[in-house]
Amino acid sequence: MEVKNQILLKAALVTIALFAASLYVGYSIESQSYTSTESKLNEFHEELESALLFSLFIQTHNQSESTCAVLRDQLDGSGQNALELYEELETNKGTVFTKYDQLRGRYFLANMRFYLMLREYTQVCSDHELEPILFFYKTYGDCPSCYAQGRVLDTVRAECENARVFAFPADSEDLAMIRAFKTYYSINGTPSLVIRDATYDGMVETGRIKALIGC
Amino acid sequence: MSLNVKGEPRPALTLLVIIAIGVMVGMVIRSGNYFWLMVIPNTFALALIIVILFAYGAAGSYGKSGRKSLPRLSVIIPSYNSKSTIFKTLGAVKASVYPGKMEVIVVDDGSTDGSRELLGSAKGIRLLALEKNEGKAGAINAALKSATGEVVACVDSDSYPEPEAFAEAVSVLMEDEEIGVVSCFVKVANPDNLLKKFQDIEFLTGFGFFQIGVHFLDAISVAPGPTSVFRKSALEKVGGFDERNITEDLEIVWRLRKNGYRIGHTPNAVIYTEVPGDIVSLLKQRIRWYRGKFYNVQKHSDVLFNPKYGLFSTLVVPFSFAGEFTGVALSFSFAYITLTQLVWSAQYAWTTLAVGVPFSIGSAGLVVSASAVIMGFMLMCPLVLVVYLSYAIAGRSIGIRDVPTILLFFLLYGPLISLFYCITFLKEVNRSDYTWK
Repeated sequence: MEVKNQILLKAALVTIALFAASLYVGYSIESQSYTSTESKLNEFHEELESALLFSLFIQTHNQSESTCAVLRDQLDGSGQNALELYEELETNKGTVFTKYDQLRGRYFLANMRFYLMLREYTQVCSDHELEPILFFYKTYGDCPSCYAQGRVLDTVRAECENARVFAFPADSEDLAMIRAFKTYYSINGTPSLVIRDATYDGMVETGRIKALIGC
Repeated sequence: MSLNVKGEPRPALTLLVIIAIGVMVGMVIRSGNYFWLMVIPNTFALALIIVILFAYGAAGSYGKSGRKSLPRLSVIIPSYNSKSTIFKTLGAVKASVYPGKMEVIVVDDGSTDGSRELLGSAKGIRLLALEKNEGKAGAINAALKSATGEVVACVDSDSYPEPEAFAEAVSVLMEDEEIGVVSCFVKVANPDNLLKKFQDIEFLTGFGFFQIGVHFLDAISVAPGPTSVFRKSALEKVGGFDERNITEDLEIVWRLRKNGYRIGHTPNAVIYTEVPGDIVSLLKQRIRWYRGKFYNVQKHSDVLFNPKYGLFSTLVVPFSFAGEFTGVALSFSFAYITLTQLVWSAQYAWTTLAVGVPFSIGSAGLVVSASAVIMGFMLMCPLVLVVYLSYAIAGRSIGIRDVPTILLFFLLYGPLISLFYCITFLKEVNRSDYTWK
């Protein structure tokens, strides 16, 4: 074979090998990260399942301060895990080979369940100190005020121990439960907050939120 | 020299093209497929780099000539308003160690800076004073008529050959009757600011490493303008330089190839040349280079993908165009991302200020995946090897103080050149005229 053709052949092989190797490494890193997130999501599901059983236990037996305290601890732990999971899912939005959208869908469903359980807990255990806040936002690139509202809620959460924030992408129309929430709470735009079943469209300032939740 | 593009300028079409490409790039980015937008062209670039790496490896070393006798050489120096550099050029040319007869012809191309008068009293040269500015190609053609050498070296008036440069280049020319021109190793004369240092690395890789690899593949596409050495009979056979061309050094090579000549190269013939020291001058130079290439591809469209001309027409020229179009796509991507980020950040700042949230720099959430980083690394590895080899060819080692410049070369100079490609592309679409003196 002519030297030039040999060079072209060798270069083609090396390019393909480099291309394939880098794709494989990228895929492996993403897969590992995906598996880790998926495993955390499964743990979150299990925690919720456990909390649900706890809640049923409290409902079928007489609630006591001690059992309610245990449930609240469990819910607080789940809340922290939910937050970490959310950040992890946001960080991995740009992945190429893994379908984080599916995980995100599962996460938001679990978070809704979490929200409903927290509401139930406040009634069953008569713990009206906790204040769940629903936050509907749009994909960040399109909604700078959603990002700003997120920062406001971060401040509220840091300053108010009783605040529990549940964030949902209002434009994820493929999730039936999000559609149902939006209809129920008359969410027409982003950002929107739901505090004590009342809907607030547009930006809500820190001071006003704190006043609304009695912080 | 002017490049008068046929037809009226098309600003409306240009605007439409900008919007269309912007929308397309935006759609790709928003769909989350920008990873592939970057990876596919970069893989083609990687393929070309690897081809050249193998060719470089196969080329082996270039020994010094050591010839005792060489044919008569005519050194032609076209000069236009080059008072600040021409005498340094003459000094370098006269200091040449050439084992044969040599004449120096300076063509004053209608200078108005007083250099013509000064050249009139210079010794050891033949001054050919043109009445009006004819452009570089016209000036060389004028000198060719009276040149007495069998070999002609065309030297820019801001370029300085090393003493043995002509001897080395002419020796290569004499090796084979089929060689019409020999390309030399052009280096940056005085890299005293960051932009010049970037060009220094670019020249080391382009005229050093790549030219050796491409030469081995018999696919050299340009004889560097600062200095190239021609067989006079070859120039005469093809009718001299194209006087309507703004990149005559590129065009002459294509025409020589079409006339059956081969292109030689030696890294032992070293030429130092002045390079633009500011962005505006660099932009002007590159627009000329890239528009000249567009023009010549149209002029010699029969060369493209024609197997008769080997890898020159089937690999090097098409891939270089692919690289330039990638540059255009990258520029648009960069502009799109920057603009959307700016708009988004302004909106964000306005919103946060309105509600009293402490301001912080926001991001529109364009997340770079691990895969994109890996792919970038994949391309960077061969490029780092190329820079290392290029320094080695030039007899230089990479010191710790060179590392930041090399990193900045990749991070800043690459995007800058992409932007220049983009501007050139839009000027072509707009049919802007171009003038070069």
